[in-house]
Amino acid sequence: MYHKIVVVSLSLTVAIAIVLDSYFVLYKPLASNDNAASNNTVSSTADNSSSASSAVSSSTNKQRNYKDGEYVGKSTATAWGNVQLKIKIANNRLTQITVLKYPNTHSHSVELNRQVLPVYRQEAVKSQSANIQQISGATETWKGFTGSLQSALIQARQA
Amino acid sequence: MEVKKDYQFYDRVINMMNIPFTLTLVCETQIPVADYWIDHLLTQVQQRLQVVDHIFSPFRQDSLLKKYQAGDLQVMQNTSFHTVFELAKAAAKTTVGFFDPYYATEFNPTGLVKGWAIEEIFNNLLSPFLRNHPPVIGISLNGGGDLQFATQYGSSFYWEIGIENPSQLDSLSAVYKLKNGAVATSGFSKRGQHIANLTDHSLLQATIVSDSLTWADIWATAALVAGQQNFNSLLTKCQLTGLMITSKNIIPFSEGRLADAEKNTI
Repeated sequence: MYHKIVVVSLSLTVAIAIVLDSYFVLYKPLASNDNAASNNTVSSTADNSSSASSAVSSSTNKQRNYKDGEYVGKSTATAWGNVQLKIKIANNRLTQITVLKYPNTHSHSVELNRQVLPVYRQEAVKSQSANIQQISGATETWKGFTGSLQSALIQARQA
Repeated sequence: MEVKKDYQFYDRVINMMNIPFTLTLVCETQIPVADYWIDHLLTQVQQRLQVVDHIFSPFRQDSLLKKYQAGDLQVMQNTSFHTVFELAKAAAKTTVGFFDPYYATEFNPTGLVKGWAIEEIFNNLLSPFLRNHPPVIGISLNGGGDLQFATQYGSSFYWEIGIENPSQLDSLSAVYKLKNGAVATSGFSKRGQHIANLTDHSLLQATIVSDSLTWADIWATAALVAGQQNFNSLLTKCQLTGLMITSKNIIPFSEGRLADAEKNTI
């Protein structure tokens, strides 16, 4: 669960950073001359160079540059999967970000994004005849280790 | 036909908590300093496993687990104990009770401590080591058949992980080719008493491939307890990847979908 929380929060941080980024690419030029005070910064740990960090500005004057309402962004492909967000503007301020679509928590490892299926399904594969680096098996005790495939594998590599 | 290069493997095996732990480094070629690196890492792995044993041993009278079982709630202030306690609760919930952290009515998360400890050591020690040592192209920690592994970014090396045949321990049932992740296998072939509350014997062995060894281990145990029918719906619901072995079939599944089982009849 702890792991999932970390993954989900990382995904969300990335997602939020992405939407804020595109949001400011689109809207910031309008607000750039209000001497806005930056009061809130969202930074992302993502590798995506485009979303390193974005500042949320709130304008101090009464100008209304943003039309109130809800805006749904395009679904955007990221290294972690598709991300789609909805933002809400009220009184010239970004008041709410809703994540409509976020990457599956299992898919952040690139290898696991693809279908993972084993090979050599039916053959009885001896460790000597196959190029194997590790063995996964039912819990093995220290006592049973000598003579196990994992042990044979290590000995073969040292020879 | 792809040509698999001759890589150089460095292995160290230690006995901790009566489990053989294998630490493996992979390099493109033989480099003398790798022996120093792996010995240095091994010492740290050993120290970290000793700490885990002191906290969770069901045999040491002074372990935090024993203190907790005796009613001492102070032990929750220990971050590791608290984390594992919460994980065990989450595991019971996510697996709809098929993973049971209570053994003979006492809280005993032994079933997930090994996977969790390996993953912690991997994330906090071995992954950073790999990032900082480009000559090393692969690293893995295998604890009695459950392993977490990684490959250097940009390297063409991948791990070929053999899944033991539960009916014939000197042969394999399948091989996975993976760069990063975790593989855990549960079964009856070696430690019959490993899982206490077993009623369904439809599965001989269950293997889970995941990015987290903690969860791979939890799900592999849960699968065995759940049995084939119950686990079929869970693997779909939770988008699991792995391999079920019955007395008749080897049934691979990937991201919640069963592979064509007919082709895999033994």
